[in-house]
Amino acid sequence: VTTETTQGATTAAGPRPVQVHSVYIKATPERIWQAITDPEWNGRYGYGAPSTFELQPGGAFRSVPGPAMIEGARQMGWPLPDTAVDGEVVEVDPPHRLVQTWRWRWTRGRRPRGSPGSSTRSPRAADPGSAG
Amino acid sequence: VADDDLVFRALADPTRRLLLDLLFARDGRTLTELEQEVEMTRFGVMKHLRVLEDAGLVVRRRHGRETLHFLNPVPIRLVHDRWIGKYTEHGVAMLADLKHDQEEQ
Repeated sequence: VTTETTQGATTAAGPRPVQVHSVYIKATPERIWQAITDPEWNGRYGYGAPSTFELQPGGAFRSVPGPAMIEGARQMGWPLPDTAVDGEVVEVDPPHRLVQTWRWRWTRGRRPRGSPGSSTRSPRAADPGSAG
Repeated sequence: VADDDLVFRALADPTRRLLLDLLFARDGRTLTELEQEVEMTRFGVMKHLRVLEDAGLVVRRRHGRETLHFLNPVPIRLVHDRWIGKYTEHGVAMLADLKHDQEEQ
């Protein structure tokens, strides 16, 4: 799986990548796709906020904080909105490529941060011969 | 070769660790930008970047006419997870934080 985060205005060359993370996982692309797009699965990873995707271009993305995240935020004195992150699904090619925009709604009592980012997740079958 | 061997071999060189430090400070640099920070030929830097790429520690992305290099810290986290368990993490982090804090002063 490779996640690529881009930010800023779209230039002729497309949005500039700002972060690229990658890992080989011994599993089928279909299983990884489900782990990323199904809230039953994706809530186990990262911040523990189950995320729902309307899997079509223009579809809604939303990430709802789980009980542990709400409690943690409350203890730190950060009120959490019902939707921690929202955005839009841009491109869907199951089980290979998912492009979305996202925007944090979780800020310390201030209005949501203005600059949205977008992120591409690409589960791909490992190249034959490459490790893992 | 196992994934871990490639990671440890890649990290066992001061120039390659310096290249990772540079990307950690500012991610997404071109070969030309990296070359200016290292006392080495362009070819030498390319060879080191190749080793880092093979280990999965550096990922390249084309952006227009440029090729940008990104630090991929996931393999380092996997090494961390191999020897630092869920229940020892807090204790280990406490000593690491203490060291960072005290040495900064």
